[in-house]
Amino acid sequence: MTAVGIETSGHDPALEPSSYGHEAAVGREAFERIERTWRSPAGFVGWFTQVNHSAIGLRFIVTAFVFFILSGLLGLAMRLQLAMPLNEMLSPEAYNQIMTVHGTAMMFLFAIPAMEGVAIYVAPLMVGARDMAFPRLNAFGYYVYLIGGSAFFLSLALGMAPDAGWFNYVPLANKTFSEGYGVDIWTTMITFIELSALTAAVELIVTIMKLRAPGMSLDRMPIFVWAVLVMSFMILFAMPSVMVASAFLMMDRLVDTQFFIVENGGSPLLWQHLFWFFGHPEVYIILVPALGIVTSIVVTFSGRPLFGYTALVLAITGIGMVSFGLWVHHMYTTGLPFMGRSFFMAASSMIAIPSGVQVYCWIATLWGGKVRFATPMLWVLAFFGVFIAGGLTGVMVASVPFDRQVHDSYFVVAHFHYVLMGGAVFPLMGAIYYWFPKATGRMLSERLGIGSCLTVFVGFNITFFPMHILGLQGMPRRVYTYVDGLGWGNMNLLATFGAFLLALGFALTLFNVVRSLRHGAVAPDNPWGGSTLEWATASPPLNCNFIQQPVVESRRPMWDWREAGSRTVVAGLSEDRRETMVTTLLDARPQSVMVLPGPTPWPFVSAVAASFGFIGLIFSPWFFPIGFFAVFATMVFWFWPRHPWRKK
Amino acid sequence: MSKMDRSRNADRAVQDTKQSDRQLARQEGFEAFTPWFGWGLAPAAWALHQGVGYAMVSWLCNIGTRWPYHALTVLAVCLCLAGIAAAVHALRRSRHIRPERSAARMRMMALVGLMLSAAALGGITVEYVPTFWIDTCMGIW
Repeated sequence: MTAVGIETSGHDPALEPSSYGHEAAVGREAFERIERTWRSPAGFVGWFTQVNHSAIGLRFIVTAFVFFILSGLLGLAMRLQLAMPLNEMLSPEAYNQIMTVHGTAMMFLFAIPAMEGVAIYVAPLMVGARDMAFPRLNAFGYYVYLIGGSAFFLSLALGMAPDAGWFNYVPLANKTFSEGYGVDIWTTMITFIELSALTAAVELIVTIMKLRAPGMSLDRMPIFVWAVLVMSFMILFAMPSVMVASAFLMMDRLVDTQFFIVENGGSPLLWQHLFWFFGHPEVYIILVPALGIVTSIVVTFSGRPLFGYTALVLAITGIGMVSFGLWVHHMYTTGLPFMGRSFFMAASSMIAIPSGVQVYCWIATLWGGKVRFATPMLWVLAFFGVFIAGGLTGVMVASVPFDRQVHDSYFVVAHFHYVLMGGAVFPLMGAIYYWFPKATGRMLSERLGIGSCLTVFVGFNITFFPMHILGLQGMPRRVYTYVDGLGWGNMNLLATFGAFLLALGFALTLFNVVRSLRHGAVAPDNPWGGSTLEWATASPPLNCNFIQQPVVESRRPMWDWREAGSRTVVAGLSEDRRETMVTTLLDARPQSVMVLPGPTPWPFVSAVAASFGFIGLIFSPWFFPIGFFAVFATMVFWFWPRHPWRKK
Repeated sequence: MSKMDRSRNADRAVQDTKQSDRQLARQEGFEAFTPWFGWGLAPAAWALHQGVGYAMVSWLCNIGTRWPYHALTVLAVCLCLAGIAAAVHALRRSRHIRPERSAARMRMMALVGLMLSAAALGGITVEYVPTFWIDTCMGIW
């Protein structure tokens, strides 16, 4: 057991507005030793051995946004195709592939990993931990995601991409109606990529439950951390469902099992139930951390404590709970009993209540504060408008009679883009502007940020609002073209114009990011005056996150320390080993010290072995045992006994 | 603080924790779990009511009576009420918990459990009431 204790410093040099303060807190020699212990190896080979959460979190975010750009370009191609009637820019086959890859990538390769990336980067800092609980698993999850996502996109370049829609319904996705490797790529890659989501969920849960800074009891946890915790539990319950479904379909196609083949007693509805039992919570898996992001920004830029902390925890938990009882509302037109449908109609309408509670809490917080309209806050205000509009159409499509009228029409396309882009992309953009100074040590340009926010907001509404009208006029979704004379041409042209404006808005942010990395103003440790612990470390964060782990005495430690001029920290952690405090689940009392592993190549090697097995499964079932034993061999080295407590 | 001072603090925080946890466990016993009842019972009751209710619709149509669904609703409502009762009990108990830090956390957990249970009760009600106007066999071929 390492000797640890709690100490309070009268005037804490780490509260100084420069990173010199962090060095002065422990002395130069100790500072350098600790930083050396936690340093990630540099260089090409070193890149494959890094395990620090800040490195892995950033990789998740950057990779997710690369996939976002690629998927966005596919969206633009679809909009160009639909800009006018009987357009022949894309063939029906190409359109179907592009549509499927766009939807699948946006959901599986962008939205969830981006949220997980933000969570992996920010949550350990917010709870005052030095790293995540399982750093190597974290790295493994990233490589799985990177390899799986790249293979998925490569299939499009090779002309063998899936083309049965992002929800891959059977019997269309059965071997009879979808020959070739497209659907096999979908099933294997989705199962594979979701492994990454599961690993992230496990690490986040353990990190939040056991590695919180001493004193950060559950009622002092930032709302973002609550949101990440709820999201992680939702992933644990939801993802296995789609993994099982896609594994069943994979086996139907590969070894002729009959799970979804009607002629042999299988059921296509089983696919829909399994898929949507994951698919609907998925929307909230994306939304819930976004709610945490919005809360963080609202509190910081209103400059006052959050109104209704307990109500927000209830709302987030309630949304997580209810989201698992809505899946059948995607199946209102499949011939289910009326009484059964009524249960899900009631539940679908009910989710508006916790969502409304949150909005009122945010309004009340802003109402009582002195609001600063910096760029992150503008993205949040845009989120309010877009998300509330999406929520209102959500209540409409929750109703069975209305849904049966607009099912499979562009009204639904408009609705879910308002909810998903409004609920996830706008907060994510806010998060980029909010935490970019922390992650890079540079400020983003406010002028470019405001320009980007306004362009995206206007472009988004021009793109997707007309789709409500198109849907009500009867335009079905998933069509590659339409005949002249239906009156849909003008609205489609307007939507296409809006899509390019939307792309311009995102391009402005991309330019802003690239430019600011070199030329942005240097960011102080706490540029926005935030109240949570991520602002207590340097910008960018130190290798060890916190040179001395903080001890928390309220929900707003940064504001309290600023007033008091001192803070309490953990003393006595080793300078030569990667040590972090383990605390009790409820009250975060110090419990023990955990020694975390350092850089290692085995997560990468193991992910390559797993990829070999999964990608091979597309072509032959024999790759399953080959992949299994390959992963097993790498795991032997991964788990080779080490001696974390051995003195160096 | 020098390394010597840190050594003097050796394990103090960890020891304090173990003592206070034991103290709290002695003080509370089984009651330490009561703030969590609402968190666990509310989702369970609602999921039970919705999931089992949905699964039994065809069967209800076949047997021509609804009493199993009413019984299921009563069971789910009882679970919610148990969650509410446990949360209220925990709220009251939290006044006597020491240290105050644990009491504050317990109050918060009990309050969220209470509201979750109430929300689940509301959910069960809004799913139950419309069924009086819907024929069980509608939409079953």
